[in-house]
Amino acid sequence: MDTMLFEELKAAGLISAASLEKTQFVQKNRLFSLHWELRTMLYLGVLFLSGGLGILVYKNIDTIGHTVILIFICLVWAGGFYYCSKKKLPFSFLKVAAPNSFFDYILLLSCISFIIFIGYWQYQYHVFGEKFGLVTFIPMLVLFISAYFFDHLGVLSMAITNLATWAGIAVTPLQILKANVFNSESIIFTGIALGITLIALGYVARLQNIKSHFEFTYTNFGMHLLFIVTLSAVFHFEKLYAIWFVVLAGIAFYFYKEAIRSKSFYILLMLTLYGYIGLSYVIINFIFSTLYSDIGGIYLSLLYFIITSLGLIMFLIRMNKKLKAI
Amino acid sequence: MIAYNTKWLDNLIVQNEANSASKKGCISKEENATIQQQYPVGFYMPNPFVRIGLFILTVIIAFFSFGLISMLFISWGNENLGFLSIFFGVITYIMLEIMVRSKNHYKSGVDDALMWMAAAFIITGLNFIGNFKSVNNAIIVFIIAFYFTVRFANTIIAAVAFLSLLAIVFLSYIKLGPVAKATTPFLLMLITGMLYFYLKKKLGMKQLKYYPDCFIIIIIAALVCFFLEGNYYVVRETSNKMFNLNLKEGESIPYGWIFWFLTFFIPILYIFQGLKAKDKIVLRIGALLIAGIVFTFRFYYHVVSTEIAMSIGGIILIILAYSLTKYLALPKNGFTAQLSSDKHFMDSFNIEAIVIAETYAAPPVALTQDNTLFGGGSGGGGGASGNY
Repeated sequence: MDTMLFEELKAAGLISAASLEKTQFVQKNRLFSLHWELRTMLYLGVLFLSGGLGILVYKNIDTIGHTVILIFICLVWAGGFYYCSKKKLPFSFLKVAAPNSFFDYILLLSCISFIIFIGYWQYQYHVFGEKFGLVTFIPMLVLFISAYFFDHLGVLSMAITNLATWAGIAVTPLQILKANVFNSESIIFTGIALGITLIALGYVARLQNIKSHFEFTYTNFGMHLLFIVTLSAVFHFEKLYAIWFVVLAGIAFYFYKEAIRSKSFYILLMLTLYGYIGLSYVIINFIFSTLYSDIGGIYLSLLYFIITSLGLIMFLIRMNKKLKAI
Repeated sequence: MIAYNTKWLDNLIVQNEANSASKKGCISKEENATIQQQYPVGFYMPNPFVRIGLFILTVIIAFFSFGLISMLFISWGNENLGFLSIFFGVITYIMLEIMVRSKNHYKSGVDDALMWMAAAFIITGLNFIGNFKSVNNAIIVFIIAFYFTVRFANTIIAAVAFLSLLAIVFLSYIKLGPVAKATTPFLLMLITGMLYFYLKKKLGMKQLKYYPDCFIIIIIAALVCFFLEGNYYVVRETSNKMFNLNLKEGESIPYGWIFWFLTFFIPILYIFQGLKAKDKIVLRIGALLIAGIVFTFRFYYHVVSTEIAMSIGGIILIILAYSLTKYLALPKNGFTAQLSSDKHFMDSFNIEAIVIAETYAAPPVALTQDNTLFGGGSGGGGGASGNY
């Protein structure tokens, strides 16, 4: 802060003498915070150590033996979870702060090693047999419970990612997987179902005030998933693309309302960009397939982009004013 | 000089200072509100996300308009296409001036995009017409980037101006003969160092108060460049390629030890200096460049395997972070491990959660299981997660 400026403000009578003194005091006694430097160091340390140990184990698997490694990994996550449950502040449906700056990282380490543990166990000993759904389902459950129990947004993101993996595997029958047939229709419908589920979870979190600060993470994942899946549906279904475009427009409209409600410029930008990609695909497709397939089509599509972009700029400028006014 | 309304720029500085003082609780909310009222800013400054959107859309408009115009003149040939590009760049620049002057756009995305497009079209056009040598190209880029820096105080184009200046020095100096070639790194370091101290001194000057962000970016670039210019890897590989030294593997450049010394010395110097002068930028760059030391060293000497190096490094980092946090639990010598209320650079973002999701996004199950068994199917889960 510029103390000269505040002296001027004082002279102009805009701030009181006490405020000026406070400003000067803070300016003189400013502490140099190494908070983020230390946090980054810790995070990198956890990342390097877990990565290095992982490779080390992988390379020396013949001499160490699987059981020893499994027991070691098991000890890591068990110890980590034990530490976290000892240290954690009492559970609440509201936001709970971490008791110290290492808590979050130890929890993260425990969660990662738990996933590695389950995957490794299944790979080596086939504990779950052919039930591949279960291999992803159990870590997912543990991650979701940890995220809520210990209040950790990073773990929640991991849990959601795992949920997607689980859904992707669970909906595809093993037979089809084995025959190596990739069925994109079922993936699209799963994606839509998953996206709606995530948005519903976020909605419930906000409405019931159960960890309402998780809402953004749910909505964010759900929004991207829904948009991407619907866009790929527009590209995939050659005959029905118009219907899927209507679905896309519906989703965009939902998020338009959502952006206004939560005053989120981020959601506004996302719906604009995703919607524009969909619209442009449909229009360009229409121009080239039904109107002109020669140079006229190129002129028309260039004009389309110029005019629609101008329109969208107007839209964004207007929306910016509207959201700011709320 | 600067294109934006200077009265409003001044007021903006006051507003920002008052906001930060209000956040720290130094001045009351009412005082802050009166200050905001007394120092009005008439710029059009949308939210950062809207700025991104406006930027993308303006770039789309500029590109497709150029496409439309050049389609009309496509039969004219390459040279005329160059003139067309310059003409279009000038038009874009005029648009930019109009947007800034009469529509009061200030960092709105529209002015950023128009500035970059104007620079890109003019430089591309010039290259279409004349077959420039790299020195001349660097000079063109420098002139345009410098002009735009002065006029619009854009941070990234300021960095471009700085880097093109170094390129001019480098490209013209190496032509002077073998002695020049051998001393290039030192000349570059000298110039970078001089620029650094010059800018550092100018940073607080009243006449240059509209350019603090540009100065900070150039200072960051100068710190990184100073390291790179003395870095063993950069010097060895560049001299090998550009001056045809034909070095074999394991062979060192003449006086290689100087560069080894500099590679190790500079980041450590930065960290010490950063801590001593309590300069966050220098400290952070120094910490980042530790990675530069490690990569340079490991490129030539494989003392330990990657995984052992990672494990040891990880342990050192954790212990260091842990003991420093414990040591600074209560502030010592003006240092603290606590989060200060003074928001600095990227502190305001919730980067952590994003980074965690990014680094651990790959579902481990898909990795540990037999790939042939899953075939394309694993793409279902993996593909979905990749979308984030």
